[in-house]
Amino acid sequence: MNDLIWGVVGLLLTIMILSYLIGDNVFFRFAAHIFIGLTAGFVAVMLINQILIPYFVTPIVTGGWQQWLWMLIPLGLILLLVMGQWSKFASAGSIPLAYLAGLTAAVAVGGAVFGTLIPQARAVIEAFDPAGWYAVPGRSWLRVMDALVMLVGVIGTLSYFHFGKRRSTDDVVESPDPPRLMRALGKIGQVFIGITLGAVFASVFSSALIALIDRVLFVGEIILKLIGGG
Amino acid sequence: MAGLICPECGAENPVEAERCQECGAPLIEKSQRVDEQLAGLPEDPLDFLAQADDDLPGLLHALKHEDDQAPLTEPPGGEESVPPEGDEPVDSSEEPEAEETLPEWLIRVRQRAQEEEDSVGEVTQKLVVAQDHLKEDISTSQHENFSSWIEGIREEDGAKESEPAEETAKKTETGAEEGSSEDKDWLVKIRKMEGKFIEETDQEIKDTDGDSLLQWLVALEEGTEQPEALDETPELVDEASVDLPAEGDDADEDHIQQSEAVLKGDELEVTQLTMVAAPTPPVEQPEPPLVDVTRSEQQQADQLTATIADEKAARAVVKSRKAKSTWAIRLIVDVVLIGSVVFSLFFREPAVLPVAPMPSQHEDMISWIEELPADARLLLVFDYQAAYAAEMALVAEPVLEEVIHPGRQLSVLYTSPMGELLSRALLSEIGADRDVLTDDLGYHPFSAFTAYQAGISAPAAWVIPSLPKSGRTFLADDYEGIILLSDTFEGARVWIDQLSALMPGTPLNLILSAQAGPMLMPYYDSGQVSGMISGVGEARNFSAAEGGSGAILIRWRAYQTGILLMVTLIVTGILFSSSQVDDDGEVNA
Repeated sequence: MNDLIWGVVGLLLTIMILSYLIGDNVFFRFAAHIFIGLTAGFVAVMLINQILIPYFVTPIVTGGWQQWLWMLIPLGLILLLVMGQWSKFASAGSIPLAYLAGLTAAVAVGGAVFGTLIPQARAVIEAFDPAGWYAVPGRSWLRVMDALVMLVGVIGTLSYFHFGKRRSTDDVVESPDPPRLMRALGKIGQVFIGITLGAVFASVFSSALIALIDRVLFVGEIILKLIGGG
Repeated sequence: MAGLICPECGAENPVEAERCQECGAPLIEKSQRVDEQLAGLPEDPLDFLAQADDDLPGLLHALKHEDDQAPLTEPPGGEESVPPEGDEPVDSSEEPEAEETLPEWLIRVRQRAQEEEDSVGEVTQKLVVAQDHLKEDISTSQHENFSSWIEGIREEDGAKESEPAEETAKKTETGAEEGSSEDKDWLVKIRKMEGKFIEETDQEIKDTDGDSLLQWLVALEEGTEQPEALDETPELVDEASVDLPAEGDDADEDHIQQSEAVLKGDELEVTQLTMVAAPTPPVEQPEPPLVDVTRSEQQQADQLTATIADEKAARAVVKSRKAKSTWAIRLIVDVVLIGSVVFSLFFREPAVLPVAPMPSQHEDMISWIEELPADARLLLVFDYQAAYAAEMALVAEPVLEEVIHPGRQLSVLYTSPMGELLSRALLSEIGADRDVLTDDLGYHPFSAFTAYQAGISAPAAWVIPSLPKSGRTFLADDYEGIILLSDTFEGARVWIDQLSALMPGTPLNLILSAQAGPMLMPYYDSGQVSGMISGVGEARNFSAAEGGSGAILIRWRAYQTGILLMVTLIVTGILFSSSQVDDDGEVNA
C-alpha cells in the first residue's frame, strides 16, 4: 500500500514537472520548489551526519586532551570563518578560505600535471612507436593513421587556443595576428573541437532521452497498477 | 584688434604686417588702394555695382548688354526726360547728382521700369532693395573673415574691451547686473549692425517668395558673408558655452530670448546666436598642475580612454527579432515524442539484442572482471547526480551483475549528496539477495581531496600520533580494483588524475553516462584506465555479450525511436532555420 501511495505521489510530481513542456506554470513551480527544499534539507542533514559529527564532534567528545589540541586547528578556522561575516572582521574570514583555495589548487595542479598532461603527452609520442604499429599484423596502417590523426588533432587544438602576445621595444604589450601557419593549424583544430563538442552534445541528448524514457515507463507502470492492469 | 586682410588670398594678417604671411603679397599699398577705392565710391551704390560687374551674374550681364546694344529710347517731349504724372523715377528726386553719373543702360532700365511696372520695374525695385544690403557689405568688406569682424566690433567697443581680465573677473564676481549692462551695450551694438540685416532679409524672403531673381540676390549677399560666418561657428559656440551669463540675469535673459527668437529661422539665424554670445571675454582657465605619471599609469589611462571611446563609438543597430511563438510546435513535438516512446515501451515486444563486436575498452573490462579473485575487495565510488540515476543504473547493471558475487567485499563511498540513496537503490536491485559484505565509507564532499586521500599509498610516513581518526579512512592500495560511476567528465577526471599518478598499479574502471564518455576515451588510450563503458548504447553491447537480459531490453526500442525522432528534429530545425535566414536576409551564415 505504501508503494502505491508513494507511487501516486511520484506520478503527480512527474506530471507536474512534465507540464513544463507546455510552458511555465504553477504546477511546475510547485514541484520544483518541493525538490529544491527537499534537496537543501537533505544535504544539510548529510553534512551534519556525515561530516560534522564523525570528523569534528566525535573526536572532541570521545577523545583525550591530545585530540582536543588537534581539534583546535579546525575550531580556529571555523571561528575565523564565522568572524568574517562581520564587516569589521571581514579580513579574518579570508584566512580559512585562502587555506582552502591554496590546498585545492595544489591538489588540482598536481593531479593535472602528473595525471593528465604528462601521461597524455607520452601517449601521443608512444603512438609513433613502430613496435606498436606492428603489434597486430595486417592493421599497422590503421595505427599509423591513428597516430597521425592524433598528432594533427593535438597540434591543431593547441594552435587554436594560442593567444600569443608580443612585448614591443617601448614595453607595450601587443597582440598581433598569429602567424599564418598557426592560423591554418587553428582551423584544423577547430574541426577536431567541433567533432568533440558534437559528440558530447549528442551524448547529452542521449542521457536526457533515457531520463524521459524512465519517467514515461514509471508513469505507465503506476497507471497500470491503478487501473489494475499491472 | 582688426587684422589686415590680404586682397590676393584673403588671409588675415597682423596690422603691422607689410606682406601677407600666406602668399607674400604686399598689404600696405593694396590696402591703401582699397581704402581709396572705398572712399571714392560714388553715392549711388548701383555705380559700385557697375564697377564690380565681374561679380554680377549672367542675368545682369545679359540685361546690361541688351540695353547697351539697344538704342536709347528718347522720352516723349524732347531731350529732357519728363516722367509721367504721378509716377516719378526712382531716386531721381533724392539723388539728382548721382543720376548724372548713372550709366546709360541703367537709365534705360529705369525708363523701362516707368513704362512697364510689372516687368523691369519690379526688378529695378528689387535692385534698389539690394543696394541697401550692398551698402552694408561695403561697410563690412574689410571683415571678410568673421573673426576680424568681431575684432572690429571690439575695437569700437575699445574702452570696455581694454579692461584687464582681472577686472572682468572681478565684475563677474561682484554683480551680474554691471556685467550684464556692459554686455547689453555691446549686444545692442551688434543688434544695430546685424539685427536690421536679418529683419530685412526675413522680410525680403517673405515678400518675394518664389522670385528667383531676388532669391539669387539674397544668395549673392549670403554668399559673401554666410559661409565665413558658418566656418567660425564651432569655435564661437565653444566660446559661448564658456562665457554665457549665469541664470537670473535679466538683461542676459532678455538677450537669450531674442537670440532664441532668431533661432527659429534658418542657419543664418543660428549663426547670429553664436555671434551674439561669442564676444564675451573668455575666462582664463588655471593650468592643471604637473603630475608625474608612470608608464603603467599611462597605459591604464590609455586603456581607459580607449574603452570610453569604444563605448561611445557608433555601432550598427542590431535589429531585435521578435521571437515567434512556437509553443504549439513544441507541444506537437513533445506529444509525438512521448507518444512514440509510450508506443515503443508498452505496445512492442522487447528487443532482441544481436551480439556486436565489442570495443577494446569493453573487452578489457570483461577481462579484468574475469580475473578478479573470489574474495576480492573492491571500491565502488558513486559520483553522479540523481538526474542521471536511470541511465547510470542501466549502464552499471550488466557490469555490477558480473562483479558482485558472494564472498567479495565491497566498499562504497559517494561524493554527491544523494550518493547514499543512489547506491542503496542500485545495490539493492543487484546484490541484495547475494552474500556480499558491503562497507559504507560515507559521503566525501570534495572529489579531489577524496581521490588524493585514496591515492596516498605511504601511510607510514604520514602517521601523526594522536591524530583523530574518524574510522572511515581508507587506502586504495587495499583494493584489487576501483569502479568509478560518474556522470561528468570533470568528476571522473579528478579521480583519474589522482589515482593514476599516486597508485598506477590499482586497476581503475569507469562506468559513465553517455555525456562523459567521449572526453574520457584518451585516458583509456593512454592506459590510465583499465576499462570503461559509457551510455546505453555501449551497455547494450555489453549486455548482449553477457547474455542480454534486464531493463535495458525493455527500453532499447524506445531509445532507438527517440534517437531517430531527435535526429529528424535537429535536421528539420537546421533546414528550417537556414530557410528562414534566406527569407529574411538579415542573418548571414
